Amino acid sequence: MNSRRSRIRSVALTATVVGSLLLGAACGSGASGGDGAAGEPVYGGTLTFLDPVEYQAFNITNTLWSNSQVTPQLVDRLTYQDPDTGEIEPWIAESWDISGDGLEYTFHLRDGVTFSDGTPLDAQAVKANYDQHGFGAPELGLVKDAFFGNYAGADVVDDETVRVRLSTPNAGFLQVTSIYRSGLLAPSTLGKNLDEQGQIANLIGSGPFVLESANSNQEIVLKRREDYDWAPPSSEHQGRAYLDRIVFKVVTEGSVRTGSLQSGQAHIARNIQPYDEELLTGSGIDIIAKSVDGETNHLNIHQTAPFVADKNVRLALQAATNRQEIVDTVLSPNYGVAKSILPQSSPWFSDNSGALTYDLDRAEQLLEDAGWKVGADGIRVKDGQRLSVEGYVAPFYQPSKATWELLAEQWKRAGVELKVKQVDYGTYTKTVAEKGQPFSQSQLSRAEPDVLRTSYDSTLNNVTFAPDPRLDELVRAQATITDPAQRKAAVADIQKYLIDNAVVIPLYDETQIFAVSPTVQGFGTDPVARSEFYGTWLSEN
Amino acid sequence: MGRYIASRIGQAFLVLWAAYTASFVLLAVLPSDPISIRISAPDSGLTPEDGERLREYYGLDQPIVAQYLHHLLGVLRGDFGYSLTRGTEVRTLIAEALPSTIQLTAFSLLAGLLIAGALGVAASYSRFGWLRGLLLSVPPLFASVPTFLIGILFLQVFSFELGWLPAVGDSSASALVAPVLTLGIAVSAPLAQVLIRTLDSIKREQFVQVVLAKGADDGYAFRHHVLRNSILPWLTLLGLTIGELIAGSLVTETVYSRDGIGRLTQSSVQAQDLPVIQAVVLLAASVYVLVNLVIDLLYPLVDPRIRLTGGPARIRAHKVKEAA
Repeated sequence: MNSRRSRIRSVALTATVVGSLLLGAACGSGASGGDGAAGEPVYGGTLTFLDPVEYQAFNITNTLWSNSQVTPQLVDRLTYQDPDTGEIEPWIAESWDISGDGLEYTFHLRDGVTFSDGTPLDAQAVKANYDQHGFGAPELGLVKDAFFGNYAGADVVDDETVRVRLSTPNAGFLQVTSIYRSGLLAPSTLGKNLDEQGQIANLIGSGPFVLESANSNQEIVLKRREDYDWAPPSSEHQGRAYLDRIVFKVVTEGSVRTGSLQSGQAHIARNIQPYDEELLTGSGIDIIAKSVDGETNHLNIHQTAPFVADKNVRLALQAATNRQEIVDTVLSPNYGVAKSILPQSSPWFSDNSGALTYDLDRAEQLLEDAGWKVGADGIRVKDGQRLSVEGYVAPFYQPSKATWELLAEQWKRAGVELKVKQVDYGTYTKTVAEKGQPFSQSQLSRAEPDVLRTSYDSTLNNVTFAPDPRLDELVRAQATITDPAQRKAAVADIQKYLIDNAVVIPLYDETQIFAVSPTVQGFGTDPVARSEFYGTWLSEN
Repeated sequence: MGRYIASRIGQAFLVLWAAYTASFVLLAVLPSDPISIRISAPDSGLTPEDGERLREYYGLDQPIVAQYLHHLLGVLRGDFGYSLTRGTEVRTLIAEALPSTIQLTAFSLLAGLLIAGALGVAASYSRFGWLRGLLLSVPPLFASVPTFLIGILFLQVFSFELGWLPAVGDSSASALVAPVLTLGIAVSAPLAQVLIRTLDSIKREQFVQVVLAKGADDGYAFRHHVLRNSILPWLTLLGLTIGELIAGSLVTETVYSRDGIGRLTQSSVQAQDLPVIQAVVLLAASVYVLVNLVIDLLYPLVDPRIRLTGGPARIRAHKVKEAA
């Protein structure tokens, strides 16, 4: 496997190594490890955060990884989701009542909350926000928000009470009110059009930080809001944030991110390459791995494509996929081995590892049974057709290419040829959307099992291209169940169905890797690995 | 002279229009479009219907010719529209990115000229064969090492190890040193190669031999006779160097995480952000055309034997001399 590892390493790393050799020194000025010796939180300091992805428009619903590390610091939500338990807790809404039919949510708002432009965050403001999500605003160029799919409107009961109506019950709706992309914006922001709302200077929220400056969407500086006093009640820390400032910078080059961190020029870097993790821990940098709740990183199988319409072929590919090897070879021990369509960290996870075991004999037997016989070149043949499929490297996931290449090796052992293709972003979007393509690598992040309905309901994303009445029934049923235990069983049924029928091929638990300087304390993320800096402080600043 | 300039300006507009149109056509025939790219990310939460609505909003559902005319009229009015991915006016994006790139390219050009000049003179006048051989091998080395690698090495040594320079570009002067040297080295290679060749050939010219035979030393001959005659090829090359600077700034700005036109171009191309790409193409073409016009106007000042007539003047110094 050594040759594979070295092939994955980029020119950049080679250069890093050469640079190190030239100086005869292996690591930069290492900060001393400060495990556990953090002490009492202190106020002040500027934290520098490096992100590999260019910032795009800052519309609140933009889920781009880089954007959504910044946005949550600027906006508060009605509810707060505990990143560990997944429980929904009060935040701007002190409490709420849900009607018996699950169609009406009445939120009782906290008094005295203001947006950073001084206007009050009241029932009227919440209604204005949710109306824009639920109905869109065509005159402003704003489309409906898929997360508010069954939104029927909101009523202002009084200044501190707002009632949200749904057209059909949706057990996942309460969680929607906790996501950063449902962050509450000032009415002045909501009145702006699509382009104007995309400029971060217009993103006025009630969050613990406000914008200080932004330059070409390359560097964004946030400063603390001094009068902030409405953190989620469950937060240990209350009042203003600890940090004076957060500087977000785009640094696309991986070796520059790691080098900057090692030499003490930055505090946190997102998206660390698996092979850099050891290098960093070796020089005293902490690696914080956050499993992303939602779907595991997986292949959706388009059942309209040749060969994979046959369930036996799909099951054979499932059995020929060695997930442990993916983690060992392409990723790092910080990534979880996929055991279902939901990651192990999800409170809704049910273990399907029995059906996801690597079993080459089973894969070969399934293909034999389906009539695929090994041909002269080792690739199976049936009716004169070779069992040859294509896989496109997904531009959204950094380890995608290496993962596909490993899959090609693994499947070849079972006599399946996988041709790995890499194309530019634009071509990818056109090609993989085609029904003739067998696979698309995908991962939706959302800490709510309703995410499975978004993907697999044939009237929503319909990622299999082949409507399946049983699957539709399963994913829709969970949305109407309010009892947690019953709902968990319903979600387990979906997971089992997706795996047992090889509708999907899970690859690995999606994980965000943050490299964090030991001077950073109290850094956390929400359940989908979006940073939260409210409780973060610097032990040296 | 006046007529010459007028005709050149007319040509310049033709070049700009052609560049604009060519880039529009290229972007139009690409297999995808910015909205498809935007909605295709699994996490975007946007449906194909949302995509249709966005296309209508941005006018991307119009026939391609209508879009072209609409954009062209906008450009003539100085309105470049909005970025499709950033929600910012293109004018604002360019205005934010340009100063940083001008700073980088101007200093890099200066650094490139100094490096090339020093290398050229040192190699040409070196008294030691081995030193000359060594110096002669430097420009090919500079030309063949990718800018990217030079940048990473500089960062590794001067920023990460020695801590002399900041790695993630701030606006301080010290943050400019490494990028300027990186880009300067990249553009110095062809300049140095041409200078060495020109110096060597001019030194062998009869008029230089005459000056030396009359008793002048090398320094006098260099200052009064060789230098001026070796500038013309440099001027010609300078026009091309501008293009290299623009291309090189893309890599340099990416490695050093600097704001600038190069990085703006790179991210816009990736997202097929049409209005931004179009504006950058126009900007680059304008600079290119302008610089080459200025260079052509400079020829007669450097060499009075050159007279400007119709087309661009592209005359190598020793060719003129042969004719004279």
